Amino acid sequence: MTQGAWIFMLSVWTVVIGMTGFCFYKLLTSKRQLNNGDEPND
Amino acid sequence: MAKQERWASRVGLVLAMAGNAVGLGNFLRFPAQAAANGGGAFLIPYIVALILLGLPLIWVEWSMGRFGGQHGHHSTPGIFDTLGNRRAWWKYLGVFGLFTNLLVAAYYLYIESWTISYSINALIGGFTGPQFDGPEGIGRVFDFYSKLTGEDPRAHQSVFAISPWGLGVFLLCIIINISILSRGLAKGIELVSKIGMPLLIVFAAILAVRGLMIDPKTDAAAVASPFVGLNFVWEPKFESLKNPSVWLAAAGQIFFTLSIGMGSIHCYASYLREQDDVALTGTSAAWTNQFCEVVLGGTILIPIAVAYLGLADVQQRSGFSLGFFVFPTLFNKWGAFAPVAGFLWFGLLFFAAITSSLAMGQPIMAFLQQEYGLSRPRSAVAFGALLLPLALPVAMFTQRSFFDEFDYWVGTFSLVVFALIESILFAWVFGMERGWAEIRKGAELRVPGFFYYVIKYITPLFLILILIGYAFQPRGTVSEVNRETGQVVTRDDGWSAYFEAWTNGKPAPAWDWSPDGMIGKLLYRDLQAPPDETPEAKSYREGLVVMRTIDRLVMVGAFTFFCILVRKAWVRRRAEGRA
Repeated sequence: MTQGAWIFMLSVWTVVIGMTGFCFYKLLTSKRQLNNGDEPND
Repeated sequence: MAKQERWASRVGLVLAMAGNAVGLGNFLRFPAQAAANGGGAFLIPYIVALILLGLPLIWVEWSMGRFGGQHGHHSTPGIFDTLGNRRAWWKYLGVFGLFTNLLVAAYYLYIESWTISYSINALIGGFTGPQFDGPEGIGRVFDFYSKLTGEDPRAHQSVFAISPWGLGVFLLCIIINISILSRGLAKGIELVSKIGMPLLIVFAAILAVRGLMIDPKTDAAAVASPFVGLNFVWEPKFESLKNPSVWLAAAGQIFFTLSIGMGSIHCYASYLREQDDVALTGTSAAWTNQFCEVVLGGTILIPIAVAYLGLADVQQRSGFSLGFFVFPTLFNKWGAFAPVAGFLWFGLLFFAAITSSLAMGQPIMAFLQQEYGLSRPRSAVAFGALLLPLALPVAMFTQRSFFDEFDYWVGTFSLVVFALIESILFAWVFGMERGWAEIRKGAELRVPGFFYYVIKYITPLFLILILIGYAFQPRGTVSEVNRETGQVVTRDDGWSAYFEAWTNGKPAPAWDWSPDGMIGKLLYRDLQAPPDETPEAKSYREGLVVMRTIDRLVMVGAFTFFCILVRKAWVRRRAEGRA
């Protein structure tokens, strides 16, 4: 692989994995959940 | 009155929304698009489109859905009616959110059924053995596909394409979807997403790692390193950024990968409560989709194919052709792991497809439950009953008729029209002040202030440009002399040929509509009679013209049918004092 390809791939991967990880970190550590404890009704 | 359905957990909702977005295109379309449109440089317009088009529309659709849900609406006719200040015609524009889901499901479920047949056949060793090596092996996979679909893609001969086996699996696939949908949001859709999405990621990761371990020094069948393929996908070709077609392709990829403009996001979000966050949850679903597309999707298809076929061969094939016709023969080179690899590949495509197809059923069921008082199981059966008359022609006639027509007019064109309508409704009719307050209500992620202006001005403008680009797409035929052979070679350059002419003063080609654009499709540009047409080919082509005319009448009929259902529903609402 060329240097340009490596730089582009790793930069984009860093952004995508970083953003996905950041969002899930915030989601999983948030104290707020859906439904205020109500049981889902199907 | 029945208690309101709800999602069981936020992670479940994110996975259901991400599952809705992650589809076959993440693994088959994205790598081919990136490689063909500037490699790594394609990711520049791709990320620009994600910021200016994708994320804003995600927040708009989530906010619209939650707002509609607070007013008791879970499908877009009602949601549009509420946001449009109950002006009569907004609910009819909201019909797009039912119409597109039903007609896309009609052909999407057909492809989903293929992934079931392919994965089982791979697992039982149906694609394994020396007979599946080389071009003859690819021919055998074509034979398998022909038996499954009743049509040989190498030689279209008849407008009919009937396979009892394929039809049986298709019906089974529809029944699987209906039974999951009938179990409800939390116990059906959310549960399948919680199982399917992690499995999809694990399956893809295994294949990506195994693919990158192909070493031409130790693997006699390999002709190149998989990193040559990875380089093909990622090497930036910056000159491509001057080409407007590349920007259009990137915007289109972002648009379709996020499942925007379908009405399914509105529906899923409508089961949230007023103070539930949409900013963080929506953004999480969007980035999960991007992870599956860019990191996983970009690392499987092209690198493995290039390793065994070489770059020149791969450049001539589409993502779909590689995925369904060539890949089973490539896994065959992995010895005892081959059946498992084939199962993982088609299994991940199945999970990608089913989590999307479930999202297509829910808005229609929600509409029937809400407006016509159907129970959840009955609405699931009603969805199947509505689907069947559209799905059967897709499976019984050549893919160049119902399948292709639904894919273009509904699965491509209508989505852009719908997204443009909703962006105008949200920013200009509902009002950007109220809209912005909706996006920020209960938000656990601060949406930067400049998105206020992006949503109000840039996103609708971007959508108008995409719509013009698709609708009036020219052929742009350019003739060039090949320096090595001296022969004159012609190629279709689309809009690029005219932009070159307008900006660089080059001579513009004579105007001709592209067969891939709206006008070209309406004029049957891809069905023009060639000068040396045989009587059989003429009969097939004329049959296709008739079929496509019928397809279009069916689409108009389906839209009208939903408009009538909406009208009747609102008459009932008025009679019951609910309007």
